[in-house]
Amino acid sequence: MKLSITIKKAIRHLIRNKTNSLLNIIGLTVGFICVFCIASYVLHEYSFDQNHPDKENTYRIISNDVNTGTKDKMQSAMTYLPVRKFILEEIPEVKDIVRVKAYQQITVGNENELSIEKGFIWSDAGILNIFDIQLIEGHKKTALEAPGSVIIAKTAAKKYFGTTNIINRTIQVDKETLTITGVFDDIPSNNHLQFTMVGAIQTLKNLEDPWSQQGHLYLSLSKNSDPLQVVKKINTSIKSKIWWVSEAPVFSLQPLQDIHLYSSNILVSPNSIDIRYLYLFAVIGLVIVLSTTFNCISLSIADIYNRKQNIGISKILGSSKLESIIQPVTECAILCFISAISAILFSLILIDDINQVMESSLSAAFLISTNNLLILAGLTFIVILISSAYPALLVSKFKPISLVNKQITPAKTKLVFRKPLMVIQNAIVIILLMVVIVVNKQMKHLGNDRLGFNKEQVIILKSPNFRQANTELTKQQIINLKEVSSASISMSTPLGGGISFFVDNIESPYYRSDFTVDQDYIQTLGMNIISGRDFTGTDTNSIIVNEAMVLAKNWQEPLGQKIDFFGTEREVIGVVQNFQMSNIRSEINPAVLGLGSQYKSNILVRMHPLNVESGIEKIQKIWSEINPAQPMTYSFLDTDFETLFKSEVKFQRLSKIFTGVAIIITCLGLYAAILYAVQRRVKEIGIRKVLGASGNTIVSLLLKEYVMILFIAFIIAIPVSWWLMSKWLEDFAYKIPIEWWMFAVAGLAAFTIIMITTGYQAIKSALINPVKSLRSE
Amino acid sequence: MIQLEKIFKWVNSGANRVFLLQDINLEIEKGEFVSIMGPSGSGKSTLLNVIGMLDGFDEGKYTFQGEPVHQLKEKQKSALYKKHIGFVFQAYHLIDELTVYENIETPLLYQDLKSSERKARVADILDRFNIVGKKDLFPAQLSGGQQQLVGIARALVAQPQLILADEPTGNLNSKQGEEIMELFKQLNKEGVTIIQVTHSEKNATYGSKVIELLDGRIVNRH
Repeated sequence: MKLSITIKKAIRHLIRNKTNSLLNIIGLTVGFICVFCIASYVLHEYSFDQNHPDKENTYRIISNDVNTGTKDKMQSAMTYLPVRKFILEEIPEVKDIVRVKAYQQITVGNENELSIEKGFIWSDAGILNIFDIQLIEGHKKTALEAPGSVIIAKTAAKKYFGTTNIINRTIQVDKETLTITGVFDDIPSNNHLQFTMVGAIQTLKNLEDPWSQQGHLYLSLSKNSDPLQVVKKINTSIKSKIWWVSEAPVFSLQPLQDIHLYSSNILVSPNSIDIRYLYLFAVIGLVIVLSTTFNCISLSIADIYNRKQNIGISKILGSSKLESIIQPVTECAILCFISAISAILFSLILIDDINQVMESSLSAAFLISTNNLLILAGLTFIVILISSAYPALLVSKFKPISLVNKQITPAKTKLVFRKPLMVIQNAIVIILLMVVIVVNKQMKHLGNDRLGFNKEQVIILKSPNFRQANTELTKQQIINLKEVSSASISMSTPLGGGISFFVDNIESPYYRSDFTVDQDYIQTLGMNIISGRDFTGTDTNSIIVNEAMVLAKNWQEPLGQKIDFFGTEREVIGVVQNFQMSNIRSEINPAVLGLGSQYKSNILVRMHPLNVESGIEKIQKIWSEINPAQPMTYSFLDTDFETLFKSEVKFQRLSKIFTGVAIIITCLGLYAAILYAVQRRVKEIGIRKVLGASGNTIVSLLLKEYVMILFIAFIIAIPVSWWLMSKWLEDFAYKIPIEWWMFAVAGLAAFTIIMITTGYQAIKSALINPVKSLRSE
Repeated sequence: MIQLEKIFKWVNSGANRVFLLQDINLEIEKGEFVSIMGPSGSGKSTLLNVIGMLDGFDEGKYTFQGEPVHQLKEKQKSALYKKHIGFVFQAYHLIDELTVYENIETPLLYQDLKSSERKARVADILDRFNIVGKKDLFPAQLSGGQQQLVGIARALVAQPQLILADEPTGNLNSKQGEEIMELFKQLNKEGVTIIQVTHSEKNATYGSKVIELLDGRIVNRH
């Protein structure tokens, strides 16, 4: 009964104070949406490979060898598949090893219709156990036993055949005709290895050839075996069997659960993210929660001073301490509850946009799963607790007599807690603004200034059977399009890294990357020639090197020097500015470009900026006319860049959004604060005006406080953001300096935002006719 | 009913001690209607608050119905006034978020009465004050006189033996004021002890006893 009265009172109070309640609900909802998304996202990332029944004993083999680069401590998840046999023979603790050979893309279909499939892998029968795959059709034991068999995921089966009842039907994969022996449930989104088709690896012919057979190895150990011992054994016993390299790679085992989050130093690790960014998002989420609760706290403190009398009366009428505490807590709880519900609804409605922004794979089912809801409820509860604790404490300390006494005005009662809260909020905004500025500047630095070529408006045409296509003719016709400014056939984009190998120079060993290109490569990519000249069509005995190569060779005059390129000695005719290759953390390798068609695998096309879409349509038409049997895919070079800097690009985008959210929340808080201040000081302003104060003095009187708060916040934000961003920049080989103007811009932006938020109310109150404000009823 | 002996109350302002109440000796019998008068700042409200146990004092003895208030703890004091005293304020002090009915019901909620009993008592009082038709209105929808009526109804609903009224007509026009004073007189006749603080000589005439204060001292009683 009493509780229902408390709730009734709370609801009526919230309705009476529409502005306050609305400000609170908007702030809380925005905050909650953000926090819920971050929490759900982080939870989802943590759930990767966690549902596996035997995850403790399942590992991935990581190799660390000269060719993949001990120099910059890069390890690779890709290794020689023939190693499997040696391990199985030598190490009894290993129950099974599964080879996985994945393709970026492969042609799939029947004679009539070929399409490009991105989820095809070759693998052993054991993969069904390693990844706990359930077959809907076919028999798990025999499905991948015979060469030439393939199993297909449900969605892919529907895509290619329209049904899952397809056992014993055939499908064309690359040049092989495979028989379907099973259909499996789609791989869940929180599995690090995503695939839609598994072909029996025995189908491949030269299975024991270490150079053509490279891929991932997963192994499952028998229970109670020590992985460290197993690693030791592997490295000692099979060293001698690896005859094909002078120095055998050092192998290690990575637990299955660690693959998704702890692979930032491991090359060719699909679908992995850097756990530090996950921490970063969690911290940002926390900061947003704090900012939201601060609003809640300061609004309810202000509110309580407005209603001191009511509280006092209740006490005089006999309410206990507990009851007077429960009232503000209930109000806060109602607000939080409404906001939490609407946040979940909004998240459900906006789930596609959220996934797009966060590059996540959250589903509505996951959002409203009991686990997730429990965590969100917990978060809401914490917010309620934090934001009602201090107001409740205040209430319980009030002495009833001081509340009903007429002469006491809250003017003297300083709201001790509010200002520090506002300082922290402002500091958060400035810090986040700094983050946005520095991250943007750094990414611009990497993406434009340091990139060494122009990544905009370049599309990359690829085909799984590129070498069978008539690429020369295709290129000629594409160049004739008015939408295209130039095109080039090459083995890889700069970001693809070419073919890199270790040069065991005695003084200073280095990695060198070689690219076979055609004469339009440098022009198409917009690389900068520093000295010498570009290729012409006849320069088959010439090469162009980058600056790093000149440095590595210590050439005084690079032009005319001769070095080996794919087996022939060639002469240097030009030097290009260093350009970004696949290794993003370390310094740029020496690189050599030479004319040639070895390993050619794509056509790069530079488009005119305005006609990209129509151009792509025409290019697709040209390709399919010339190469009807070879399906083609295209991608954008700037997307490749973003893939290379995946975590960073994501951080860049999300930091902008989170900063926006933090600004909104802070502004709501500030707006509420100035509303309160103006209300409280109506009389004072009236008196000052009667005594001759001008509108200006009154506005500055009201805003002085906020400028002070901002100033203190700025002082706090400078070292914090400086430390934070230097830490972040440490990761990059090429980084921008943090300069004083960035702080100035962040501070100025915050100042402008705050002045706009508070200015209107201040000016409005300064214009009120004092006769009105001084009239007392 | 009430005995005050040598009550002193002061505040320290710098090196000086400012006395709010000095040497107050007062005895009030059950059924009396006492008016406390005096100029602004003479300590009228302070005295009323001390009697109502909302405010403490620094020296002296206060006995309320045989209980030594000066020896009671905060909790016991609030239990005591909750049970025996009703308060009426100059500014009515109704709770904005509650309707007339709910405002009147509030003190009963804090006394853990049964729902049926509460309903009966509130209905009685609404009836008696002729405000049944207004029971679902909020305070802001009432005139000052009506609000004060509700304030008095709220003070009475718990059936206290003592009503303390701090300038109950201060915010009302003269006609409304007269009605309130008539009501007090009526209540007093029914046996409720009333102590009021007032500025107005006329209001004081409704009472049986007048106490005049000046600078925290009782200067006259008749």
